[in-house]
Amino acid sequence: MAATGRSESSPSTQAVPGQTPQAQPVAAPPPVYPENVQKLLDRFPDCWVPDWRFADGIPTAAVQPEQIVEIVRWLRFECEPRFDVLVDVAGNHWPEREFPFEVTYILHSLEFNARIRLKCSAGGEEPAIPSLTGVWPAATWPEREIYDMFGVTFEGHPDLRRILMPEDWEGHPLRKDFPLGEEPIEFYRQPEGPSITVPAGGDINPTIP
Amino acid sequence: MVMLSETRTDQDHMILNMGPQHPSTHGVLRLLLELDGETIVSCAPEIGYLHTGIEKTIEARNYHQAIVLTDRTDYLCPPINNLCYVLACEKLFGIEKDVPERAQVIRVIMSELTRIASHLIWLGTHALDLGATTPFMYCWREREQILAINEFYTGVRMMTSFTRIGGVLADVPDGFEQRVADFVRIMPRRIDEYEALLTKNPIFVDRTRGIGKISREDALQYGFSGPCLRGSGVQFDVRVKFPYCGYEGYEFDVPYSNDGDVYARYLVRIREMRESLRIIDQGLKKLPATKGQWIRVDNPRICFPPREKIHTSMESLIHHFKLVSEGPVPQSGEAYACVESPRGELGTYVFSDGSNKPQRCRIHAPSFVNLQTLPRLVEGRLVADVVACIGSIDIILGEIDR
Repeated sequence: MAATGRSESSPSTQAVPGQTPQAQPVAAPPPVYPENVQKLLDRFPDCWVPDWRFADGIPTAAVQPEQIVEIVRWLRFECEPRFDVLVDVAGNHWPEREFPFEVTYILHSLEFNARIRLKCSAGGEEPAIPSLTGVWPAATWPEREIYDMFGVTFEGHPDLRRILMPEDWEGHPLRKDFPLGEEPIEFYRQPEGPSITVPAGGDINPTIP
Repeated sequence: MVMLSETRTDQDHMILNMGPQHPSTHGVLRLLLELDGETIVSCAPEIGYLHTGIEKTIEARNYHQAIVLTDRTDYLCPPINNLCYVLACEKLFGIEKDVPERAQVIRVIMSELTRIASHLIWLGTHALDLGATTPFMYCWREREQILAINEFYTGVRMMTSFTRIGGVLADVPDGFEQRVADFVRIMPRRIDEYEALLTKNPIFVDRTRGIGKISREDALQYGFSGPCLRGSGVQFDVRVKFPYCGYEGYEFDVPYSNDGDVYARYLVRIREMRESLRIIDQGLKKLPATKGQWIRVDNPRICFPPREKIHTSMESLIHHFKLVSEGPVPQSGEAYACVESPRGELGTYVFSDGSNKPQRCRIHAPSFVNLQTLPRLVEGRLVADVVACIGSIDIILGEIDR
């Protein structure tokens, strides 16, 4: 996928002959986005590109939860290239952020062999994001898994219930405030000496005094 | 409660629990079947019996320690799981271009050997489910040879964990090439044997042809990947479309079929084994040229230094100590890496917040996505066809439940 520069079309960044670059107050050059992300930003101005390092090079855009269904419909049926496969839906929890629950979608275009990643965040007591099951049935189980693990509700999901954990389980295991379960382990230094117990929730590699 | 169809109050319909302890559900899969006579009205898979919280556990380990956990997801192809996690980490550390060629070739050879081993288990159990007991014994015989190669190289038969961030743990021992070459030499004839038993066997063909049909469009909509997708006529293979570990330098075909039924998926996997042998053969030819090359990235902040250097160089000792006690620390960011596992596109999505432990590690399991289509494949068919369909999508519960 070629990354076409927006700077080529905008006159503000082009050097003017006869003038030193210092003499002219030059605005910061507009950021250069990958082609498909640029198309998305042109069509849906409410989207933005997060200020974050994406080490895998997949073009990424963040979208508002209200728009997500409209955007993926556009990407699937109208956009050129058409992103016709939903590869993955991943959830994450960033407790320090304003919208702590982040859902990431990776879409794939079979014809152009291109990928794009969409990010959607929700917060509040009951985080909710519209479901993509109406666009791709493939989203059914991954969304159930995110509901199970993070407690994010997917509005419009036909069968939203726990999938991996038991139905009477309390809490959502992959949230950062959910403790990693472990049993207290007793370490004996010598048969007659005092035993040292590591409490549950302690460090994985505790220092033995 | 599980939602079955609206007609379940009908007294004529019977609810049948298939699994979780049932040999043909390949693990601890539980299927709730609503039956009208012997015809399936609706089917609801129940999973989670093998949930061990691997993703949560990885968040409490450093980047090196998490490698051994990834083996335990899909326990039939541990090297491929390791590889996927390690590729995501390499992207996060920014060293994916620096991995030495010898390490890449070793990774490819071991991945393809494991792919054959995994397909052999699939073939043996799938044929056994459909009533053919002999292929099961034959497949185990050849799988044993692959496990012996694993043991010869890594010391363990299944959970190999030899992949490291930036390369592999150790160079292959002397005699490795010969062992693999022997295997590659005998294996095509063995695959001919399986095909002689099954491919034109009228019972096997009756049980599989036209069963569990899914069209190209539906397969894409439902997120199929791997041999299931290729059985429906989509020529998508991660090794070709997003090459990793130098797969672009190997010559192989991507087998596919347009039929979309159980038999098509059988043919695709059988042909895949032959293609894997071709790749191993080419890998073996690349090994001698890289002999003597160091097998990890030469970056002491990320990869362990050579063992001999730890004894002679103070700096290496310090790096080794830092890597063992703290582990490598990437910049904050995220990376998704995908590989072609025997079951489809396996993805690992690692998030980093700049500490020495992954902030989150998502494992995108191909069987998880493939299994959700099972009700569509079996509804309206007979109970016996469920067994054929489960076998044909080749599920591994360890990876589904994680």
